[in-house]
Amino acid sequence: MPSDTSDIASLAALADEALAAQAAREGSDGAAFTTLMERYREKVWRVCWRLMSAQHDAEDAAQEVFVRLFFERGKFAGRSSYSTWLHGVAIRTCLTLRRSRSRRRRREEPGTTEQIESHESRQPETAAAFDASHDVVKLLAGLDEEDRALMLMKFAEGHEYDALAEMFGSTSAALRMRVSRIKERLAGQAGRLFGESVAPSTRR
Amino acid sequence: MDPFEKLAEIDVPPVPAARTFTAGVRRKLHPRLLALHVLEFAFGATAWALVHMTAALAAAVRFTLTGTWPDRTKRG
Repeated sequence: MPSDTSDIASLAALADEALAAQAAREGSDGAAFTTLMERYREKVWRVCWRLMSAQHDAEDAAQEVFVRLFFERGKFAGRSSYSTWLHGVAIRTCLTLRRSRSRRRRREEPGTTEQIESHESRQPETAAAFDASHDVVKLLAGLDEEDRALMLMKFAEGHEYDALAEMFGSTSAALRMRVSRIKERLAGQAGRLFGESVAPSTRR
Repeated sequence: MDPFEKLAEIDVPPVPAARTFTAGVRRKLHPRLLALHVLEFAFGATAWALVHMTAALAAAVRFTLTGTWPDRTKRG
């Protein structure tokens, strides 16, 4: 049960790692897990909203992240900070949800996904009406799920490559290279789709 | 400026209220926990039943085939 307020207050003073260790020994209604959820609700929400792009999907994904966190709460090994590890869980959960939804949509309505994707990344004639951030979001829609997540975590959330390496299970050098390749690829598309609004500074 | 840095300027809507959010997490979590516990119990119970019933089943099969029941009084 969520214990009394003094218990929760003393837990709130604990570091993430100590709290995670305590949560691993508790049940689903444990005070440590509740405190962790409260502490990371906003950060997880940000990641989910960035990756899912819709309020309802993001809320569903954020709840799913904490469900997964509950089942994986004993797996935190302390190789990175708890926050970084949790971001990794959140990213993997969102990617899984997006892939399964896209598969389901393809199964139910063949052709719909392709229509949506081409619609998201097309529209050169109306591009001038959008600001640069909207242009970039449209460009990212054409990437595969993991590349899109990487770009969003790097540029929208501003994570460093070392943290991203932990989140994506890679090395910072590999991710640096990957980001640079994605930017090059998008620069080509940006030139075609949006004239010079996005392309010039990415062509380096 | 790197155009990709513009992504940071997109506002994230406010986080859902704590009460409804937590309730949603528990609504998803509890049925799965229940299913997991039922599954664990089912596997555990099956294993326990197999271990405890195998000897009796073996004796019943032997009795069917030979007409003799294992005599435990001869042991030790």
